[in-house]
Amino acid sequence: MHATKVYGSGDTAVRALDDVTVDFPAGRFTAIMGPSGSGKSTLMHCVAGLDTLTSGHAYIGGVELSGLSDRELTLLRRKRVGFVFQAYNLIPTLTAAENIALPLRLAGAAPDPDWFRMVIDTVGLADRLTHRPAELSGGQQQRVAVARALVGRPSVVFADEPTGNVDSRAGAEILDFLRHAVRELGQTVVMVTHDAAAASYSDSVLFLSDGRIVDRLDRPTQSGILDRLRVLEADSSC
Amino acid sequence: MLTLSLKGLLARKRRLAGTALAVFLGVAFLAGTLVLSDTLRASFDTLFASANAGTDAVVRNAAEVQADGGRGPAARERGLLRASVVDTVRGVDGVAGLAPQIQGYGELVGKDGKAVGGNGPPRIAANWVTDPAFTAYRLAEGRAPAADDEVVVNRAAARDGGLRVGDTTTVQTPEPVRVRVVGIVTWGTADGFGRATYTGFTLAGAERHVLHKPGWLSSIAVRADAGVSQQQLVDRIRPLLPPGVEALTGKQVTDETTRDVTEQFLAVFRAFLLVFAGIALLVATFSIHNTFTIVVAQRTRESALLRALGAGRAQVFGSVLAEAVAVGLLASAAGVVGGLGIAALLKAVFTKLGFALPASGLVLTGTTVAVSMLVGLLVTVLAGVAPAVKASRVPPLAAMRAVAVDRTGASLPRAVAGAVLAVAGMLTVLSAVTGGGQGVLVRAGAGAVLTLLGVVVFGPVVARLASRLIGAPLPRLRGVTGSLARENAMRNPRRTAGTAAALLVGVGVVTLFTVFAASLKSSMDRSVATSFGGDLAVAASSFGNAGFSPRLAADVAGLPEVRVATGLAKAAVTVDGVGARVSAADPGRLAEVLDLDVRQGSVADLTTAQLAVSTQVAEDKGWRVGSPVPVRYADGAPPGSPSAPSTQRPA
Repeated sequence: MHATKVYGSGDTAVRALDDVTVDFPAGRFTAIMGPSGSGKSTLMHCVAGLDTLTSGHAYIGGVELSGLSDRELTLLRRKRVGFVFQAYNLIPTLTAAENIALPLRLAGAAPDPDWFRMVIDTVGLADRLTHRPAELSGGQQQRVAVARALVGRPSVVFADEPTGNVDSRAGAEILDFLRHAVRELGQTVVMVTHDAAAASYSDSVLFLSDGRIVDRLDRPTQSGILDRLRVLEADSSC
Repeated sequence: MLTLSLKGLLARKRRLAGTALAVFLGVAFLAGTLVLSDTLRASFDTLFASANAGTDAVVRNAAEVQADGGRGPAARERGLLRASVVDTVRGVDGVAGLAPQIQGYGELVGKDGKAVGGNGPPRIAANWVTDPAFTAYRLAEGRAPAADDEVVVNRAAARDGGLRVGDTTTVQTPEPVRVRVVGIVTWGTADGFGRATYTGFTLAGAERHVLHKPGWLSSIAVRADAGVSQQQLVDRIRPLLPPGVEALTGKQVTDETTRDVTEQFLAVFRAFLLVFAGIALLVATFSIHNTFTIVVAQRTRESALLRALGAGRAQVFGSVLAEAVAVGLLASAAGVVGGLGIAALLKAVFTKLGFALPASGLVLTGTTVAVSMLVGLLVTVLAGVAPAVKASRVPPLAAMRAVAVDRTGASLPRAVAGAVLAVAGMLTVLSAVTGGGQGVLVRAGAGAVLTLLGVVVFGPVVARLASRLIGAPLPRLRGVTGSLARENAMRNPRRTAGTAAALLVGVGVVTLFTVFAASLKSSMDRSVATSFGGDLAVAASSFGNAGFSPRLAADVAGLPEVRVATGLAKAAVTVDGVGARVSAADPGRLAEVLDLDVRQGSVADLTTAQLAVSTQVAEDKGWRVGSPVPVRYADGAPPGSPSAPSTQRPA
């Protein structure tokens, strides 16, 4: 992806993404970090086809997003992209199983039973399937959301602060599942986070600041990430 | 996706209950109206069919004059038949029996000196038909009339008037006739035919008192021998009849009577109630639109989520519309059931008002169900379309962001369009009302619709300001609650305006009836005040064919306190080939009590072969003073009247 995203125009224009070139390799778990307002969410929205670029190109598996119509973007989201949101975003009136199967239902497809069972076993929800979101804990809801993102076997799963609303133990579980999905199931995961502990589950971390990629760390550890962040904050404050 | 819609529906049932109620009421009113009119029609069908069950043919005068489409007082008159036709018919091969019939107007006076029966139902005076095959009336007490001044009355009328066998009372036909009640009759097993009062004379008595023309009849009912069909009977009678007299099968007459009642009474009744149903549904549309707009706004996040998960626009649109369809179906189905209740209720209300409808049971036809369901569904779906489109336009990104407040409504094009529509509408109404001229009603109506559209479009523009101003005292009166309420009304001007529009329609309807009643009263007051130069008017208490004896005018004029009095009569005649309602009066005296504002010619010396018409009629027909105008009475040549078309002169 090579991208520029500008919000507004003229004097008030904000360059949320400033000539960013980035590539998320398939079968890897990539984390995007950076201070608030660094453009990490914008980057994810643009690469996921939720938002449009001011200039540049974004590709998912070789498909260029900027040229797609609303219908084509819908089909792309349906088949190749999975989302995990910070606020779970489950449909309160549907059971856990129905929520997980929702993307397939929207696509008019029946869930592949083996894959469905495997995903559910992976996230450990077998005994919670008939519960409504309100009857589940925050961690359980987010596991349902992860299962929902994985069930359609998308090319890439985008996770926006997936551990932001859950306690650290549940957060660790969710990150384990995401890593498991990458390692064992061959999924590609892109995660936005500001939590160094969460980022340490990834294969590599991209550091964003003022709409630019300023650093990259492969096989990160929590202390390594914190060191980099400290350097970044020192840079931007002087 | 459908599961999602339906589950969402269940989760929001409280809010949607309001919507469903609005649809339910509208549909219930519609279904109730249809059920009631179907029920009435079926009842009339049965009534007339059973009343005519033993009649295979009817012989009567072929001429009937109808004014104003046969609606209203003195609007239709049929010619009479010479009694000698009875012998002609009796001689026809295949005739098993016949009954000469006389039917006319007779107001029965009760023990307390007041007329029996409410306004509206017919007051029938007839000859008592002794052969039970030709009438549904059955003698229940006493005996049949044997002398000219003996009558039978139906049980309901007797009870209302406090009359018993042996009592003496008066029947106004319209001359007062002193009669003795010798029998009480029932209509089948009922105490009467609806609320119609029935007074039965002997044939001779009816000729004398009801028709005032001995030797004449209203009609002859004929029964065929076994093996002779109605049509065969009519075919045999027809060639023998004198010119101007017709023979119809019993079935034709039944159909005609039913059709007359249906067209004259039911059509008006039905149109009246349907207008209410329409207004109820219009209000429902606003309510549905509002609810769905709120529902859609509340779940912007859910719509966005669905889009992010791969739902197409059509799917989000469909999910909202599916909710509307479900609500529409459920509420309409309930509305149809509710309609049965409304029909029963309306019936009870009309009975209470002394306007009993001869309805038995309730008739629910497939058409009623289909029409009601369809209209209910259509209204709900139409009102849900705009919110559904709005839901489908939610960008998937909204699932990740805080939901933006709805700021729509205050756009400049909206303000301009709304203002232009409203002003144009009001100007049209004003010009129509003050200017007069052709098509006042159409122009005023179009103006009203334009104004309504303008207000609906313009509403959101002013709703914020209006809420601010009207709500200004709220914070002081109600503290935090008050200011929250005010903020709430101001926050979403479109929603506020939509709710106000529903109220607007309601208030508009109430105003309509108030203005209508007031205008009617004031225009009557004015026309009476400007044209009536007399001191006293004597009028029969009811509409219909009620009237007084022609002698009354002379009697009143003879009172020492009265300087001048004139009787006014009305009748339906054919003028220039078209049925018209005409008035008759003593031309010399008329001018003294009524200011006719004569523009041309003179009314005072009108002769029996002359006619005075209003300027409007003269203009429409192109008549001038002296124009020859052919006039015919109902039976062409009733005794004692000029039979040839007479030259009548407009004044």
